[in-house]
Amino acid sequence: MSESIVLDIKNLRSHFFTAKGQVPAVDGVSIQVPEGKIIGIVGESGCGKSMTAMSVMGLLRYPGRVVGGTITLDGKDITHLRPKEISKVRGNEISMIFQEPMTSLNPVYPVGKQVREAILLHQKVSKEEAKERVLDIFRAVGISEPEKRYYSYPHQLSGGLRQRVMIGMAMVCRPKVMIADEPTTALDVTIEAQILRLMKKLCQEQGTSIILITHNMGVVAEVCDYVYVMYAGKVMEQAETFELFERTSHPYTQGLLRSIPRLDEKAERLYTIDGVVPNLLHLPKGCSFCTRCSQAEDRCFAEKPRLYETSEGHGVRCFLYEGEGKVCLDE
Amino acid sequence: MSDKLTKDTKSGNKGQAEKVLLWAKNLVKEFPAGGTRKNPQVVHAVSDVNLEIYQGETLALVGESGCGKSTLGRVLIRLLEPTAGEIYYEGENIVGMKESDFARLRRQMQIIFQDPYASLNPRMSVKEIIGEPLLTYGMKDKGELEARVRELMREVGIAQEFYNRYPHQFSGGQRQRIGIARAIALNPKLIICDEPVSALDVSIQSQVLNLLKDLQERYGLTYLFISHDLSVVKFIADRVCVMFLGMICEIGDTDSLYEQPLHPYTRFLLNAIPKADPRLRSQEKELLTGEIPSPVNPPSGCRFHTRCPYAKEICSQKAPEGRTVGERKVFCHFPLG
Repeated sequence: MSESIVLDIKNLRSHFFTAKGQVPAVDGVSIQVPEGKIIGIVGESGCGKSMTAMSVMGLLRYPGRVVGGTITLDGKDITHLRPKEISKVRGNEISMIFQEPMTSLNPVYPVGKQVREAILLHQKVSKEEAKERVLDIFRAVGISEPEKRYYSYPHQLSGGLRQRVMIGMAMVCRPKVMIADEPTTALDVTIEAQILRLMKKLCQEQGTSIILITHNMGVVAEVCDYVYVMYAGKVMEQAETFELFERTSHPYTQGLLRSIPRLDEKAERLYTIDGVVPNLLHLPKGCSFCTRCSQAEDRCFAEKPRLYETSEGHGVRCFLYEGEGKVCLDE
Repeated sequence: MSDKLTKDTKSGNKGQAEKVLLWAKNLVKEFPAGGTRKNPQVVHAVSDVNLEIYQGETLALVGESGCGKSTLGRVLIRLLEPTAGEIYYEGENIVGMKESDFARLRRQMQIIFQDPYASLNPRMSVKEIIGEPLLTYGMKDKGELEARVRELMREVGIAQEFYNRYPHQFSGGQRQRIGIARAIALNPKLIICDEPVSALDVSIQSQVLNLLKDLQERYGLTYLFISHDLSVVKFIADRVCVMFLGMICEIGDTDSLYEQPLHPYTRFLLNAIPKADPRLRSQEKELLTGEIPSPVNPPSGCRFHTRCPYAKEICSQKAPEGRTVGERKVFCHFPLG
């Protein structure tokens, strides 16, 4: 990855301080986002993918806190900005769309005004000009009759349209990075396909980089350029999309891919990963996946594996690849 | 179509004789949706559906949100009363049947819900949740009850020491197992599975799907499997019924339907699924445009015609009759293929 890096997350650690102890929700995650690319973060519930996004956006609230690492946006360290400073960046240079398009829009304001607010907040333009810009972005994200929709309230729009409004709001200030947290999970498949295509198009046209957070391997395969697979707060495997699907290396990624029912073959039984995601308060001493791994050895229970680079840009956090991996991608 | 497929379609699982367990005729379900007294508005959730479920098979109902698949599932076991139409369960019409007569049939029909967090009472322990249907249907002996509950827990893979625990102490997958144990407690014949794995992570989803398949084999259960996930359906279903806006588009054997969809909607649905293989990226593939029309004012004629790229004049005027193509039935004026 030699392209210019827009967002550089280095060894990020975000912990939650609860009565029962310190929960390492994000534990040493390094992610690089090159310009104009779509980066996928994939994992199951509780793996820390959303918390990584919240940390980047400066939205982590008590009892959660970023305890280590750096987040660099376009050469500027934004890890520990004060609320006033981060609000200049948020929504302007880096924006976010959420899973639930109903709850992330304000129900008592027309959607057009909500999008306009994003412009007025960050740029010195008149209200009329801002409205024009909103109508432009509505057209760009494929909202029909933008003049009419400008005055619609969220409940008058379907889920797909609301998500288009959210994308419009996130893109209207032409941010450098857009984080999309499960943007299509609440949508139907035919609408999901439309939204994914739209995001890819915007990314190419405007040069915005996208971090796409999802649990759906299909979505990853469809749109992402580079993928990070997370488990229990750590990156388990990272690679370019084609590489990841062709040479799936980590036992967890392999299990994940094999347990999805496939359309092109009829299986009698599905592959399963036994057990459940470990409690982050009582993580195993060694590799966090060792309790569910079919190939785990004694060493996996005692020592933590590092992220070994098996080929260029392909990192695997597993002792099986220690021999091949000359360089460690972490640290 | 090969002979083998034909046979499978008719005989369902395990080569049992073709026997209709449940049969719906001209089923309609409407919900009031405001309007004025002179001009009341209704949501046409299910319109004129004819459907057979064979003993021992898994029939999947697929479609996008609001297509009426959950409503249909609930109407079929009379959790909702149909507005019109007839439902025959083992030859008896259960619509309008007296509640006292229906009670003996009710225990043969169970349902598993989508949300394992909302479908278990948080103030009841596992033993109470699984034991409740047994109690209701007259298992009074405490020792017998405990033995049966423990047996059910073993069946679905819940460890014995969790006998006295409460739902909040379980993960989503385990809760869904408890819901399944409750559903099979009375040895039902038919289970409506209403999106049973949609709320679960993939690694847990495959465990629950395998469990459902095992239980079906062991007890000869019949499933009506409601889902929007076509890859899950491909794995579990013998036959598939595709719905759009309260009407059936296409119904038939799973493999042949996936291989060669006859209704345009089925094809778009299959095309739209993101596949877990980057080589199959759909840059150029045709996508469905537009949104799902409102079920309050469904389009005239074929309800799909507003989104269908192949629609001709007749599609907006006349609802298509069902035509039989091989073992499949398709409701389209111009079927593909």
